[in-house]
Order: sequence, then structure tokens, then C-alpha cells
Amino acid sequence: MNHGPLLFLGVLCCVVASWLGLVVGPHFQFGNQDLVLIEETGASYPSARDGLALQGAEIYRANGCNYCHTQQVRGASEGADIARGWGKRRTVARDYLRDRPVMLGNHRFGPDLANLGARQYTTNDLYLKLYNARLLHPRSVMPRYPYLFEERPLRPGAAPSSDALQFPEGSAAPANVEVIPKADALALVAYLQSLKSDAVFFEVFPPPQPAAATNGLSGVDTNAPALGDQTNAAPAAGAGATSTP
Amino acid sequence: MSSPASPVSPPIADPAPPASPGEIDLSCRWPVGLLLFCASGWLLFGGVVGALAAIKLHAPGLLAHWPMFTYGRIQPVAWNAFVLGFGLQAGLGIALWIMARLSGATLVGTGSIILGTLTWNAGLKLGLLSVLMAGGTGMETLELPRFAVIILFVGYALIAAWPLVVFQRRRRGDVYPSEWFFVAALFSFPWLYLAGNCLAVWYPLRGVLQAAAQAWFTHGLFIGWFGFLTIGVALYLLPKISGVALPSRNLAGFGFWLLAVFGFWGGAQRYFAGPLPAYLTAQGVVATVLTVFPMIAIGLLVWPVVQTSRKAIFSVPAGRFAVAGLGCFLAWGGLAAINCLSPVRAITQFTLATVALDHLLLWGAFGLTAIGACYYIAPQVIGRELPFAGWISWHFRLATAAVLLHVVAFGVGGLIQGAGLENPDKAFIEVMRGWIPFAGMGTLAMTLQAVGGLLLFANVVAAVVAQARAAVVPVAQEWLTPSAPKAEVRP
Ligand code: HEC
Repeated sequence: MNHGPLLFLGVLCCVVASWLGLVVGPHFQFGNQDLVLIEETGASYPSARDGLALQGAEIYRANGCNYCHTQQVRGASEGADIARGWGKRRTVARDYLRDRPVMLGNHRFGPDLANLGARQYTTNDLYLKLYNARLLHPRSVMPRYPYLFEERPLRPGAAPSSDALQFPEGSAAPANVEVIPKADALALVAYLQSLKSDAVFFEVFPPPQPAAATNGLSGVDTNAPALGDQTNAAPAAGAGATSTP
Repeated sequence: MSSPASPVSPPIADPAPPASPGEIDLSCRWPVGLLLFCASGWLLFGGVVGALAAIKLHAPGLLAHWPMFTYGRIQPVAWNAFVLGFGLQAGLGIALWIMARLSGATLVGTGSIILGTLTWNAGLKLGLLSVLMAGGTGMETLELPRFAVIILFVGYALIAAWPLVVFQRRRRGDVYPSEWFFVAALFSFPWLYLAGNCLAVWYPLRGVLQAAAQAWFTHGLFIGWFGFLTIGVALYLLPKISGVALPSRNLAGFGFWLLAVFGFWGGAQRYFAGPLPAYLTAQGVVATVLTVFPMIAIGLLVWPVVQTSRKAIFSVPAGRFAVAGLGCFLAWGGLAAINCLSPVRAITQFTLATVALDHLLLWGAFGLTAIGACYYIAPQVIGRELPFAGWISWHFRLATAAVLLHVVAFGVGGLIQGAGLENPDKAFIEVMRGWIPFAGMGTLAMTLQAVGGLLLFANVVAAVVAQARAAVVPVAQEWLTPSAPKAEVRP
């Protein structure tokens, strides 16, 4: 190994091979995946976010929520995600077709948010969580985001704004100020409420279904092998959904 | 078959004799000196900001009114300051100097390297500022916005072309193993960084493929930059300090090629059971497990050197740093492989334990080795001993203690966190309370790192100032003393 060019070529081959195998290959394999038409509703999945929620995704990215929160649900056999109520089914590649950037996250210092929009949170709850998570959960390490809110002194006698946060009884609400969400907070909460990857289609079936595997749907979409939880294939669950070619 | 390899093996007969070490050091003074100076500054900065981020992980109210200092911005800034500020610049500076020494050729392209370093630092500062101002891209390790990355590329090209020129001008018969690793790292980085940025950020692939590109990039950087440099530096420093040659060149080659072949295929295992196709994560697992073999080869290669001359190596701070760093690297290889196995991964995935592993590689393996190399190289290129010799040993103690504390605390905390997350009957908030004390220990570890970084930085600054004074004061004195006596001499 005394030849520079040989060394260079060898290393180049190693890097390029891994790149072809791990990035380019999968791209040609399922990079052309398409939205799914859910026949019952006529809507396509994943559904498009409205403008406000798209702005919210930018706030989520800019403030690095993804350094503490994941947006991916593992299958029932791989972890307790579904048992924790973080989703009805595992997430698959198709759930993220519209995300730019995709913020899967690597750390669960906070709960998974892939299906936050499907959980029983009022808008006010989410504002409170962002304004000061310790109001609801003492000792929570969820950061405070007071800069997404405006703290306005309450004028004596004047009625509080209808947009102001409603603090829960007995919580350490700030005295003599009302807290109004700014535009960024509105957008962020709209985004959080848009987080839902629970549509059921042929790749994914809710796990509790008894396994009456006929596998009749395999071959519907050759672009997406190895993505679904094949062991859980239950024909009933797939009946209502089909793919757009 | 297998011949030993030594960094001081004699040059072959050549019309031009190799340059003397003194000449080489002089040619490296400004470019390598500047790179190491900037690197040590970023090490300090990375430690301080890392400590701030670590505090914010358990004290969410701190500086909460400042959007700039929110955890989700401070954390990537600390990470990138270490990776791109310290990791890249220390790596380049060390590779430049060692390659020049091994080649027996003086460094050329000084002006270009200095310009490149200034460009790199400007790009990095602007990029990190932009992350603080909400401009991060949201892709881990690829957070810097496009304009900053382009500046970085210009800077990198201005610097990294020259070690290759030095390599081509070598006056030695054989290429020493360290040089394989350096050349490989110098080639891999721009490719990885460009392809990663293009496909994950600039012209993103669809959906989760962005995450695949990001995972490929990050793991490639871990192996192709941090791993290669750690090994390259250790393979130079240990035989050099001890005077004992590496037992086998072939074993080194075996380790090098296996690492190059397997190393770049890892990464996707981070997304195990996530939305990436299962075969990608399986490839990541296989690659990470196979990477253990080159690690063993490197271990076998270095062990006899350390074994036979323990005293000599441990008497020099750089030797201690290099042994500790290489030890961290081998430990990382083993732990990363264990972490891939499904029963382990089911618990450690998404927890502090993954942070512990990354920390073991970046701050442990590369950090310790590169800091040691800085202490070894800086006096030679500056041209004088570092003034506070005692601090060097203190830095060694602080840095190794910090790595150990961080890795053990986050490792144990991660296991507790993971076990809690896997138990659906335990409320999430209870799980969180379980790991907070361990996050606190991480803060302590990062504080120790920051103090250590300060020791290095202060030492380098003091040496530079002393050298500058030694150079400037006599000249100034000559100018300032009245020149009258001289005139009188003349008849
Ligand atoms: C330092 C880590 C951290 C960061 C950064 C972080 N969070 Fe959290 N988050 C947590 C923790 C821990 C919890 C759980 C405790 C709680 O609910 O207060 C949580 C809970 C939540 C919840 C409630 C989820 C549920 O299922 O109950 C939401 C919503 C949330 N975070 C949104 C965000 C958003 C939006 C951001 C970015 C602006 C963000 N988080 C940034 C740590 C973090």
C-alpha cells in the first residue's frame, strides 16, 4: 500500500459503495412512493398540512423540539410505544411523504409526538405545555418557551382577552398578567395538532387483529417491500383502503 | 511476510535528502499553529456551550426567555462546535504536521492553508450564529445552513489539498500506516459532507430517505473522520514516543481495509423498528458488528507497543492521552456492536445511552487522542515548550475523568430510562424523573471538559504570546535604544 492513487481509489470505492447501498438504492426502491387514496373518505394520505401548520413545522425545527421528541412509533413487538398509547400502529415510510425536513428524532427525553394530534389535548393544554410545562407536571424538563407568548399586564377592571391562556386551578399562574400566544405559538400548536399517523392502509394494520393471514394484498404495491408488519396482516383491516396506482 | 512498521524508518536513497524535523516544523509554524490554536479555542467553546446545554436538560427554566439559548438550539451548536470546530480543525492540523514529518517534506501552500482556516472559522461562526437565530436545518450534524456549508467547503479545499501535496512529495520509501488513515479521512469527509447535505437538506430525498442519508452521513463521519484520525494519530504517537515499531504492517493494512469496507455501512440501526425499511437497519447492525474485527486488529497492533514500553509512553502526556483515546475507541467499537443486538437495543434506543456512545467516540476516542496530539505538536511548531507544564497532566486527569463520568452516568441512566420506557405501566413523567440525576452528572462531566479546554487554550495562548515576545522584544529594544553610541563609533 505504497501507492497514493490505489489508496484513494480503494477508499472512494468503499464510501461510494455504502452510499449507493444505503441512500441511492433505497431511493430507487421506494423514492417514488405515492400518496394513498383512502376510499372511504376520498382523501389522500398523508393529508396535506394547511399553511399555519406548515409554519408551525418551521417553528418546531427552528427550536429543535426534535432533540428531545421522536416522531416514530415502533411496532408492538419492538417496544412499548403502542402500549404507551403513542400510536395505534407502527409508523411506516409513507407517513412522512410530505415532511420536509423529516424530523424523526433520536431521543425520547420527551414523549413521542407522531400521533400527538390524536390525543385528548385541548389547544389551551398545549399552550400551557409550551408556556411552562411545570404548571401541569412539576419537575418536567420540557423547556419553557415564554418567548412564544406575550405577557401583558392586566389592567384593573378590564376584561381579560379571550385569547389569553386559561391556567388550571391552583397552579402557579403568573400574577397580574395575561398570557397571549404569539403567531409562532399559534402555528406551532396547529402543527402539533396536525401530527397524526394513524390512517390504516395496506402496509400497516393495527396489531391487535387476530392473525388470519391470507396475505391477499401482497403484491398490490411492489414499491414498498419490507415496510409493513407482515406478520400482522389481517385482511379485514385492509379492506377499506387501496392504493392509487 | 509481515514486516514491522515504524514512523522513524530510514528513507530510501533519493536524490533529494529528506527535510530535517526543524525545517518541517518551521514550515508548519503558521498554518498548523493557527489550526491548532483555533481548534483549542473551539474545544473550550464546545465544552462551555456543552455544559450549558447539559444544564438545560435538567433545569428548563434557565435563560428560558432567550430564544437563542433554548435547548434545541444550544445542543446542536455545542455538537457542531465540537465536530466542525475542534474535530475538523484539530484533525487537519494534526494530519498536516504528521504527514509532513512522515514524508520528510516541508509543508507547502502555507498562505492557502491560513486563508482556508480563516474561511473555515468564519463559515462556522456564521453558521452557528444562524442556528442560534432559528436557521438550523433540523437534520442532526447537518444543522448548518447552506451558505455556511459552502463557505466551509471553500475553506476545506484550501486546507486539505496540501496534506495530499505533501504526501505526493514524500521522501520515504514506504507509506507509514498512519498516512493511509489520514489520506482516507481527508478524502472521505468532503464526499460525506457534500452528499449528506445535498440529499438530506439541499435537495432532500422524499420522506424518510432524508433520515437514511443523514444516518449514513453521521456514521460515515464517525468512522471516516473521527475513527480514522484517532487510529492514525495513535499509530504515530505511540511508536514514536516509545521507539518501538508496530509489529506488523500487514495487520495494520488488514485493520485499515476492513474498517473502510465495513465502517461506512452502519448508521441506520439508530432507526431500528422505525419507518426505514427493515433491511437498512439490518445492514447497519451487520456492519457495526463486523466493524469489531478491524477494531481487534488495531488493538492487537498497538498492544505489543504499549506492553513493552509502558513506562516510556506513560511518562509523556501525549502518550497517556493516546492510550486513553485509543482505548475509548476500541471500547466504543465493542459497545456499539453490543448495542446493536436486539435485546439491548430495545432498551437503549432513544435514551441517554445512545448519547453516551456518541460521547465515548467524540469526546473520548477522538477528543483525548487529538488533545494529546495537540500537546505533542504545539510546542514543536510554536518553537517553545508550553509554559504551564503541570496543567497538561491536570487536563489529562480532567478529560479522562469527564469522559468516564459522562459515559458511565449516561450509560446507567440510559438503561434505567429505557427500562422505564419499556414498561407501559410506568407514567412517562416518572420515567423522566428517574434519569434526571444522571443528566446532572453529565453537566458535571461537561464542566470538567470545559475546564480542561481552558487549560489547553490558556497554555497555547501563553506559549504563542511568549514566543511572540521573544521575537519582538529584542527587535523593539534595538529600535528603542538611542542610536547615539553607534554614531560615535564611526570615526
Ligand atoms: C429538553 C427536552 C425537550 C425539548 C427540547 C422539548 N420537549 Fe416537549 N417534552 C419534554 C418532556 C420531558 C416532556 C414530558 C413532560 C411533560 O409533559 O411536561 C415533554 C412533553 C411535551 C408534550 C406533551 C406530550 C404528551 O404526550 O403529553 C408536548 C406536546 C411537547 N413536549 C411539545 C414540545 C415542543 C413543541 C417542543 C419544541 C418547541 C418541545 N416539546 C421541546 C422534553 C422536551
